[in-house]
Amino acid sequence: MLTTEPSAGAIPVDQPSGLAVLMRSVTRNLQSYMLVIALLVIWVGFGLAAPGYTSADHIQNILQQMAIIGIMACGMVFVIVTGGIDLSVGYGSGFVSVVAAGLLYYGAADKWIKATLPHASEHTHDVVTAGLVVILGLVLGALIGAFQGFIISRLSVPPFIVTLGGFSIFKSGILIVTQGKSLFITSYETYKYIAQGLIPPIGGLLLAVVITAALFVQVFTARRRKRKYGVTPGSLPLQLVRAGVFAVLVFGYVIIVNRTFEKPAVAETAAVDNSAPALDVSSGLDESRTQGALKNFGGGEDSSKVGASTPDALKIEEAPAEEAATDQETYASPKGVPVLVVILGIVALLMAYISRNTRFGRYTYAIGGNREAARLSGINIKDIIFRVYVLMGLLMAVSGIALAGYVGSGTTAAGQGYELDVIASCILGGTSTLGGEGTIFGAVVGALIMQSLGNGLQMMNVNTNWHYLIKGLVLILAVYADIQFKKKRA
Amino acid sequence: MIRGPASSGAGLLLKGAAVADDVILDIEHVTKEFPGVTALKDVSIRVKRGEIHGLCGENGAGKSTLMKILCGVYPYGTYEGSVRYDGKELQLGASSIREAIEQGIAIVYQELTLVPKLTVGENIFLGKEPRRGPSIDWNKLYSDTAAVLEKYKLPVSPFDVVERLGVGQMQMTEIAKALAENARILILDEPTSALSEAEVTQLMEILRGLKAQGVTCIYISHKLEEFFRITDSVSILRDGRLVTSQPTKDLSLERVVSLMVGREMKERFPKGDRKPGEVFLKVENLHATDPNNPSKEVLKGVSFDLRKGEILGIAGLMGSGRTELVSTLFGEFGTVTKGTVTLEGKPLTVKSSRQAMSHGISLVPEDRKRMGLVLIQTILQNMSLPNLDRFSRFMRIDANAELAAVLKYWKSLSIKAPHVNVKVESLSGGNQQKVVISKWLMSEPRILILDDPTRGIDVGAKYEIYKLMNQLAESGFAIIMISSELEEVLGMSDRVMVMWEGRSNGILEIAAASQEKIMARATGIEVAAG
Repeated sequence: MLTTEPSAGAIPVDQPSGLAVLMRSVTRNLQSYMLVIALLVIWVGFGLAAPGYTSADHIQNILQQMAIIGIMACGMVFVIVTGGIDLSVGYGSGFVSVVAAGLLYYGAADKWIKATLPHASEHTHDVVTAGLVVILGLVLGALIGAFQGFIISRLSVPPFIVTLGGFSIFKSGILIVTQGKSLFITSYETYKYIAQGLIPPIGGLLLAVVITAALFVQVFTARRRKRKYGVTPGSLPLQLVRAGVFAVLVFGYVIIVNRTFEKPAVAETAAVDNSAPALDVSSGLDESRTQGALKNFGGGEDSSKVGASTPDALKIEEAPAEEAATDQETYASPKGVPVLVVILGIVALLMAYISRNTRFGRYTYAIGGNREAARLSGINIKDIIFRVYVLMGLLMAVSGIALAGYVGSGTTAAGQGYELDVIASCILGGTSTLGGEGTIFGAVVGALIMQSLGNGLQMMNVNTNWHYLIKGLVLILAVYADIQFKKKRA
Repeated sequence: MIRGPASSGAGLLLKGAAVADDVILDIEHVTKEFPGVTALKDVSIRVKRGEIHGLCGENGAGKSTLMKILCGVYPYGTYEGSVRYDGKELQLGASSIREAIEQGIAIVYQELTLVPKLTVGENIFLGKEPRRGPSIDWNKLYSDTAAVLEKYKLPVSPFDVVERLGVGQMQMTEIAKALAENARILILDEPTSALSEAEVTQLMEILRGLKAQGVTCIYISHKLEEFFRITDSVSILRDGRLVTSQPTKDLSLERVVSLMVGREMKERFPKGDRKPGEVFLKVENLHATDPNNPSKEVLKGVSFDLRKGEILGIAGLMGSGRTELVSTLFGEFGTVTKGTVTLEGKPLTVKSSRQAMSHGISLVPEDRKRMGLVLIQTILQNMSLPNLDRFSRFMRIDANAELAAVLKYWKSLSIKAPHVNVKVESLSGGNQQKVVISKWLMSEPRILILDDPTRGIDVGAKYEIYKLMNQLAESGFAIIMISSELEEVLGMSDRVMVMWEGRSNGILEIAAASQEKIMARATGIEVAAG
């Protein structure tokens, strides 16, 4: 798979085949493999201990729940690779989320569109509003990134300090925008679809087919291009196995979340009959499902957040949750790949591509590895660092926009504590705090591990008070194990 | 005397005891293997009490592996053979680096390990500060420091802050630190690689003083002349084996070189056949100030011209402005306040390294680890770093075009590594330097500036770099080479510019140049007209 292979241009000196190549690839990528193994251990452990952990419902939810952290972790890898840190991503994304929610809640976006497109249909209106809010959110994120990036790169204030300031500034920003209350997004189905929506089963399958085809085509075109430059391509069977494993994972996930082999329920047939996005019908399903999931989101932290901020939210949340628990039999499982998971996939792929295949990416790693050598190599360090923070700001906005849609409101505690999860995901994924090293793949798996752990503890009914303690210990333990491991290899 | 008469008497009764008494370190049949590599094979060396024992060999010959055994990085049991120290088997355990120091074996590394913000005294007693009750006994610390410095006649003050010392004085502080631990064997790993000629002379004086006080030294260096100035005997390693170990007086420089590289090397500097062409770069009366401290003038009038196909040597003592000059030309240091630079007759202003590169100027910097390489990245990533623009279409880097270009230089400079995806931190100094040079050759410069290109690399690799420089000059490159080694400047340059106190103090044609003339100008004894 094109995101994990560290050295696309590996030139085998000799030509050992089969097992030898596989073994070498395993030892070379041990860190990523260790991470995947750790993830599997967590899944198997909780799968045995907590009923429902391996259910289709939970598999569908877990990736969706980690997406908000995962998207920001992709940007944070770049920041930490340059030797910096961004402490403001939690409240920063929260700020974007309340601004987005505010635009809808206070009806600002609404009024503007009514004025410019007076004759638009209800549906068009809904879509245009969502588009406008997304664009404004992204612009806001980019501006936040540019603001912090400017101070860090041009005025040489350390990133720790600048983003610690940002942390405080955006916290205040959230309180100013919300005025201490929750801003509910009531209608606006298109906007909520971004974070809550599911892709219809047939769409998910199609996506899986396209990804698989692209993977295999990529294997062969890469080999052809290598030959053209007189470079020996690596072992073909190994590359095919790799692509195959990835394809199986993608298809497996799609089949599980599509519930292809489950008995169809009445509500679902209706949704399928309506074919097209069928927002009206599926939205009802979405809401009940998401609100059930809402309690799970962020490993329980959100239930306290939403609850603390408004008693109303608590009421809304409680009813369907109960319903989900008692009416398990009659509750129609929503089918399809969550839109948020697709967004995470696109962001991760794009960022992995940037990190390896563009000048910007390579310069970022070089700056983190040795700033002086990078400077003498003609790299404009200030410019690259500035762009890294703008990119972080953009991804922070993507998460913030999704957060507002996911929770269905802009709350006073939006994004609180996310920075720690984001940074922990990167570190867990092997990003070196000294700079110069780290992968997007690792960070995404790191985020998945954190989420898997949180959900597992919750499903085993471990008191929420203990969750942070356990997560903290796991983080320290993982980094300690990594250091020991590296020491042995050296 | 360290050993009493009783123990030496007992020693006589043992087999082979005749050597035991005057031999402090007896390395016998030591073999050290790493997975896939035999770093040392059946090496036996005897170091006599109180002698200065030279150790030389190319990079990768096994010198550092041997030293790591002596100072406990590789503890007892991880190697075969025996090391007898003072007649007893040296059995260093797992936390053995500390043990080695306690037993009196200390090593002074090439890269200094001092804390810059602390004083000489604090550094010397770091981790073993004398105490009075719960607090540090500062009076004792500084008086003990003064006593050590006085005893071995080291010209440093206990109260000096290390970062304000010269490299030579830092070296002495490092030596004092080892001696304060009552070191009986002092291992010096390339102590002179960063020292000026005057500092080298001073260091040699100090080593002779130590010898007089009974301290044994193992002296590792790539500057072979130094062995003949200071050592009593020399051991030569090649490919993990001991080639010879004999008194220095029985050896000659040429003999040492040929034993090290395993072949006769008639000349240390390959002869080039080049005819310098027209003037390419012209610098007139260049003045520049330190950008961090605008009142400090670092260049006070430098004038020279550089022709196509020529190697211009720049000689001068440390702090004479050599490095400042080339970094100013490269646009990375120095604010030009006066004077002109013209390239092919057109005025040239360079404000950044990127701009310099666009004019075809490349700089191989002085300190390859700090300024030349991203150590945690691969050969490929390092080489292509300044050249990614050429492999990129729109946003995308064409990885195959990049790889093809890197492979070309990897092969033509014969960089010794299994493949180009090896991290450069695992390469030897000579190969690292080749990576830095490749990186800049790949940018296809017209002027190549080399700042001390052979510092800390072995004879064989040096020779290859010299050959490469000749080839480049023959193919029309204009080369500027800074060097701290006068022989290198004389051996490689067509002309030599000598710098003194931030100004150019005359340019000598190579036929008319000699070490004495260069030194006279470098020290300002002789000042050029104008």
